[in-house]
Amino acid sequence: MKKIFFLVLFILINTSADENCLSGKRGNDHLINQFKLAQANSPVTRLIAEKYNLTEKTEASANTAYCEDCLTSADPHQSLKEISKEKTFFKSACIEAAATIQTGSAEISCPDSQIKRHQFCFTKPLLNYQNATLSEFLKCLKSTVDIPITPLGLFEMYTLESGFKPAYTNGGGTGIGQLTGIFIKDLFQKHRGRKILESMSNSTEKSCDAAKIILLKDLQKNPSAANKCSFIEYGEGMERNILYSLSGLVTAWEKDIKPIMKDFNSRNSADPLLKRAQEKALLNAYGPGGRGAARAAFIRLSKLSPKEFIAAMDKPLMTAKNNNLTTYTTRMHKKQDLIAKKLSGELKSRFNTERAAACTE
Amino acid sequence: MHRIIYFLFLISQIAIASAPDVSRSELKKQYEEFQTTYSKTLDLSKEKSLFTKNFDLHTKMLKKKYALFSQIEKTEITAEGNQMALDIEMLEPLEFLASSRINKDSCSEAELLNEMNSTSDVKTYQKIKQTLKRLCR
Repeated sequence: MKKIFFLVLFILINTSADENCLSGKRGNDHLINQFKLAQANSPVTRLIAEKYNLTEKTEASANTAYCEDCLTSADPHQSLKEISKEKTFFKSACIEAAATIQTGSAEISCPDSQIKRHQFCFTKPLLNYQNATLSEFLKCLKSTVDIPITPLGLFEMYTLESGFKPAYTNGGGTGIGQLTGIFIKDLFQKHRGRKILESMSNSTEKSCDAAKIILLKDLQKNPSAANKCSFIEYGEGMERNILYSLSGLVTAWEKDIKPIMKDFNSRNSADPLLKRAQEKALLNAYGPGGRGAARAAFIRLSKLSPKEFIAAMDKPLMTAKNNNLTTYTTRMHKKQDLIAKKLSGELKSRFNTERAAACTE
Repeated sequence: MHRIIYFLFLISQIAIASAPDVSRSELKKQYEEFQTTYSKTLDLSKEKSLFTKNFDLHTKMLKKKYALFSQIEKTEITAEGNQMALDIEMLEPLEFLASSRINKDSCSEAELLNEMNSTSDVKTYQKIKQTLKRLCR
């Protein structure tokens, strides 16, 4: 009897914790309902949710298994670890912290595309799903191309862009990766991003299965940037947004940054910080500072060592006519200071020394 | 003997103290020359025939000037040097067009490259946008 009581109590506590809004208004369930619908109807969502044990059924069985072990096993966490087959790249506590930071005010409701200050309730299960989607697509991408992008850099990027929330729109940018029309157009150009989309869609890797569902469709008919819900709505939109933002990073790396890095790379090939310097240069190209500024920033700072380069990317690099060449990386760095304030305990102290690296698994 | 040593020491100190000024004024001179050539380069694009004939030469000249500036600058990172690096990058859409046959495809590629620079330097982006319109007419 006691066992059953504790079991029910455990499930209740877990369920009510899930319903808490990390941001937005409680009861404003637009995103929650959208996600439920996607779990029922979207093959992309189902595939990812099942793989990462996020479906309601699996979650309940996971809880049961966990709780049964709570009462009998010496290490109750062990069984939960065994149940979770796929690993995510980001620590939940960190993306929860990122989600509580205000990033924008206008949100888009779907499918009606109404833009206003909706204050959608954003919960932990939604965040877990996004963590899983990001991890899955990053695995797919890494199996296809060699790119100096790490979970650390992506954590910094999505924290700044949207705080990992799917529905924001700001100054032309849409959704979790704040995609713009020109960014999407660039992805489909034969001489720019199309090849990477094609190679992911042709991949035989398991981690590319979900991405392929979206890409096979999109390569037939490019989605219009004007239809913002195609880049926001759970089921395909939010997922497309992540997939495109990652693919855009590959395009920027292959076409804009890597070609000008040859000398720097060979000069610093033995330096363990080279990869991080490359990542910083690449992330700067993702941001609103534009391609020209990102390339100029790299050209200017390439005379430094990777260690100095990384530090310099976190500070404004002003031109004589008052343009900042490191707009994005400077903002990214500042935003991470806010994360530190939202964390607690051991993770906070780790974050204070390691910064975003403390937020990756 | 002491006097000679003291005198030599004094001269070396003066030389060291005035060296940054010399390089600073040299940097300023180089920067101004670069900006003059840059304006001329942008003006070249007003006429299609002048553009196809001379653009490549001008950009090579600008890159040379920047390389010289960078040499004088050594490890320092000046705002003028940053500006010059950005100015050269902003020219890339025109450079691309100059190196290809001007047609619908090359124009659309150059326009896309310029769009991706739209926030890097708004004024230059606008100028190049107008230029591309003219050249691609």
